[in-house]
Amino acid sequence: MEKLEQEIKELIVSALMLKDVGPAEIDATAPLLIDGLGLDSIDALELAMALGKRYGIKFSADDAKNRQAFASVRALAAFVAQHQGTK
Amino acid sequence: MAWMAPHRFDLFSGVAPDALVAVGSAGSRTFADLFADARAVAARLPAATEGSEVLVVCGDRYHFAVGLSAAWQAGHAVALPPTSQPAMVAKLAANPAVRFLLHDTDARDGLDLRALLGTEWSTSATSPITFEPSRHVVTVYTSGSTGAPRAVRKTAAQLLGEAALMATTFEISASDRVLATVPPNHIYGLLFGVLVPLSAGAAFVRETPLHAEAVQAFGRTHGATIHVSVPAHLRALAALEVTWPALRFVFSSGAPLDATTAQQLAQRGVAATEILGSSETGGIAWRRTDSNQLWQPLPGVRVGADATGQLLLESPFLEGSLGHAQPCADRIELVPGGRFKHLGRLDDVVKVAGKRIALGELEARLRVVPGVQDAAVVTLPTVNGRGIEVCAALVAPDCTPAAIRESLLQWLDPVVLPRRWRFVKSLPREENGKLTRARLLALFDEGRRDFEVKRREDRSGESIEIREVEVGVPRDLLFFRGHFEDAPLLAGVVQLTNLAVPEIRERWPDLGVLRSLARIKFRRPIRPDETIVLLLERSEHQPSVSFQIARRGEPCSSGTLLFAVGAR
Repeated sequence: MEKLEQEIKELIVSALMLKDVGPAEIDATAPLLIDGLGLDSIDALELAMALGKRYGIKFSADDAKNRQAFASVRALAAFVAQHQGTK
Repeated sequence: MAWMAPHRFDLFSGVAPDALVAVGSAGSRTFADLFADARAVAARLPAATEGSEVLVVCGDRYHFAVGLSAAWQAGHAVALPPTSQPAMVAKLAANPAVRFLLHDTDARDGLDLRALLGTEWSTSATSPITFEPSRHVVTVYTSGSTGAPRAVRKTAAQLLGEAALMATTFEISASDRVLATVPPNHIYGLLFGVLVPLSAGAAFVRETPLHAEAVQAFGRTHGATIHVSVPAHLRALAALEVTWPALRFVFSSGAPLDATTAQQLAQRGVAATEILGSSETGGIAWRRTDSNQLWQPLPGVRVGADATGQLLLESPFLEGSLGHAQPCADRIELVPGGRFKHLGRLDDVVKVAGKRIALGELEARLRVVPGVQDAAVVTLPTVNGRGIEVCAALVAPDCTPAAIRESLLQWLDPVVLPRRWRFVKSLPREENGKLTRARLLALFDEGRRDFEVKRREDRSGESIEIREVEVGVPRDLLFFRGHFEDAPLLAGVVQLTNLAVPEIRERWPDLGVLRSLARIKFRRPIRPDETIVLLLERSEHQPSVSFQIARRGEPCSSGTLLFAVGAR
């Protein structure tokens, strides 16, 4: 799981082209959207595309569940692990 | 073709009362439901006076349509805020023209219209609303260069005329269902997401899904035939392998659609239809993205340009322009045959992922954040769906980006907030006080830092390469947030993983994975905004590098990093 979290941090930096932030500075438990890392809805879409491509997963048809998945790096890793397994 | 202005505009005159106007997870509603709910809400509104407005802030499109119809039935115009952020709504609600606030949230003053829904009996009679063409129906408040929201007033002829024209031009009928990913408080989402379907007797989906999977599920479940979106959202949708079969139109606005997305959509059988327009001008032109990049003026709209390329517009949707072409904030190039290329805007208004922001407003809002002494913003293009990102340079010795962002979020959409921050002692103004884009951009330059390279020999005569570089510690390093809010420190692990290791990798790509650390010492804390010197030493061909981080000649940390032999 730690490895997956690390990969997701790297993906966040590369997919969102964050120039002033490195993967190590992202706290796995901090909020990703608005507070914390300060990502917005467009970042969430871009990140969803990158995660879909990398792990072959699909996000939920329910945006409320997607918001929960994007709560933190840890939550995203759990979502990816779960949906990769059920593919 | 001369455009004949109708003598009056009717809304809902031809619709079947039992036809659906709204569908979605929150339930279906008929036009009869809409009339009944609008009557119930209208009865609670104050009497209309000259110029009176009702501010409507609703996330659910059916609630929005009820608020709109109620305000119009009661004789008011509808005020739409640039964003639904709390301070923005409160500020507009305090505007003297705004007599009342209708919303569908738990958190606001004003009237939560959800409490009134379903309280009036629906009847089988229609309730058309008749408008004089010159009646003021909507004020769109939008981001303006001065910082204050700019009021753009629309008459019935302009707004309802445009909705009817779009419905006719694109043959939108009562059997269509519209799914929009853009909210109804901006002109594009208002027209295509609400007024065009209302005008055509069609239905809209109440919700505004974001993620591509959710958009697709709503589209399929509710049988959407028309999709209203922006390039940043379409990019994600087009990347999904399947789309829904019944789709007749995909509308896009707010920014040019990139070629890849356009192509992917076309391969799924729906070429995107792009709309060019603005709050001020209304719709100007459209194009099918599969054909070419030229814009076709909408029926009744005449487009010209002066010698500098400034758009001269004659349009039934632009006040006072028929017969008197008005200069607009766009730059265009006409091509023979009446079509044109759009070259950009002349003012400081930009679109971030389709969301409008005047850079002047952003700077004005930054400057009034407590602790901010001076501020300037500049935009850089990005290759993702955002299109551009905003970079802010600030003189604000005691502020953190997190605190400034929180303050801006009271007013602005998260998407338009600065994504990059530079804290400086003073803005790089020229002698005459002017700030140029070039000098601002230099603050965000990605260029490699200059290393000073020296060599020395150790006792055994081995050559040691020494690299020294000065590094500013950016205040936005995320590590400064959260745990150490009051006394932020650059943690030891971050010094290694974010300063020392990346520089080592950049200089000596032959080194393998990091194996171990030796003699690591952290002696003095490093704080944001400090300038530190990173010193790296490596004996020739040895897989280890010694580092030292010093501040004003005093070592803060040091140690040796041992790497595997051979590149990673």
